[in-house]
Amino acid sequence: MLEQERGTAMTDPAAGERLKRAWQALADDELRASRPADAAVVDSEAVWRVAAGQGSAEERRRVLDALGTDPAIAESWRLASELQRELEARQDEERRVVPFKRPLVRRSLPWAAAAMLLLAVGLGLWPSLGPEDPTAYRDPTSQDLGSGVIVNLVSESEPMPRHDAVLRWSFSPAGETSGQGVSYTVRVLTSELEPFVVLSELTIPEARLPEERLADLDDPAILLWQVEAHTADGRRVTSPTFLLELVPKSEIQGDRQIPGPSTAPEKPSDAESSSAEP
Amino acid sequence: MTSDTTTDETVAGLRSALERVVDRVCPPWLRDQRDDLVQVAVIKVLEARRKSGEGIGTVAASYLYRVAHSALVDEIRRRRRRREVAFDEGGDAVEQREKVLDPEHEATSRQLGRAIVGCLGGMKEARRWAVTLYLQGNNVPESSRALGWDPKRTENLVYRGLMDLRKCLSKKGVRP
Repeated sequence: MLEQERGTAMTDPAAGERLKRAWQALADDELRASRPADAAVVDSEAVWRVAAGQGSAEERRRVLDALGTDPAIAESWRLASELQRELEARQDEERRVVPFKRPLVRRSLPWAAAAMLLLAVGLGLWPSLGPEDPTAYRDPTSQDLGSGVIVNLVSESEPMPRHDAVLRWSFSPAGETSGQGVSYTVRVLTSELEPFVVLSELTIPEARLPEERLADLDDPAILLWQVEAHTADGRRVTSPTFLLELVPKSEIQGDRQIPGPSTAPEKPSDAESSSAEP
Repeated sequence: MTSDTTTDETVAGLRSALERVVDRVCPPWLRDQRDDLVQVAVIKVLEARRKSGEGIGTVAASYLYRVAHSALVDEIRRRRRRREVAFDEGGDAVEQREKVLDPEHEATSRQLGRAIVGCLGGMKEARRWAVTLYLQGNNVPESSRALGWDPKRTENLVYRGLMDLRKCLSKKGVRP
């Protein structure tokens, strides 16, 4: 191809950007109208593979054909391309600086790592849970070290039995504030970020999760929980989000029966709230 | 990924990457839900890692990023469907349509977009693919990898394809 022709085609970056913007801004209905009725279904895994250069010839054909006519596939492709660029940048960075790093202690296992991630991420569960207030999930949660520190005392690497799931933590108030007169509220979410239970007005740093509700959770049962401490002088300290894994249903011993609705409830301990909310 | 990179660092980096990607790719109404989208994807990554049996040491970053992509795509589709239902139902459930700040520019852009679709439909397959990838924002090395062709061939096809596109648009009376 002549260099002059090549120049005409490609050296107008502004025109190129206008083309790209116009293409990427096409309304769904306009793209769909050009999609053949017998077009093959393409899933996101296939898009990822082809974008990474890993798809078979047939898969490549299906994805590339769909790219021009299916807005969902076009968006999935752009997400894949951007993520793969991020991945490559990360891998390039690691290759440049690779001091030996001691791996995590074996005992920490993945759930401690997940807790560290959530600490860094700052999943906010305050001021209220539920789909009516999605901002609660977005507010960064970092411990206000000026008011105190809440530490999880429950292992995140060992699944907890569903019949005896007790959350425990320690609270170290800052300054001259003593631990006297502190009350706690514990909020628990499912791994789908749906509210699970709220236990409030707790007077000791311990919360027992309702057994009958835990029994209903499907495997893998992973819960997220967060503590808010209310000091006597009116301060509030919010913990990071902790992670709790429950023993899979398949591993529950046959002779251990989980009480059903007809069983009289256990006498509540001091750790249980009088205002427990489902 | 090197064997010395710990999984928690990879997942923390992945979260930042997901946030940037959503900001770059998603329309404004989805960008407003960025943190929720990313959080759901990260949770799914953690679950997938657990199911894979990789509990100690490292997990390939490429695996985590692939899972994150699928989770993000699924969540975006779910939210789009919910939004479509809200529009169909009307009433208080209807969101405000995004304001079009420049209607004339918007109309011109849509006209150009429709013309591009028409022109691509008339192109030969190889050039159509190459130009589509260009329009999607992929550079020559990325397109070459996706197409499975050597970079020189890919570059030529992009150039020729864009030439065809310009001619076709010109015939339609549309200028990019």
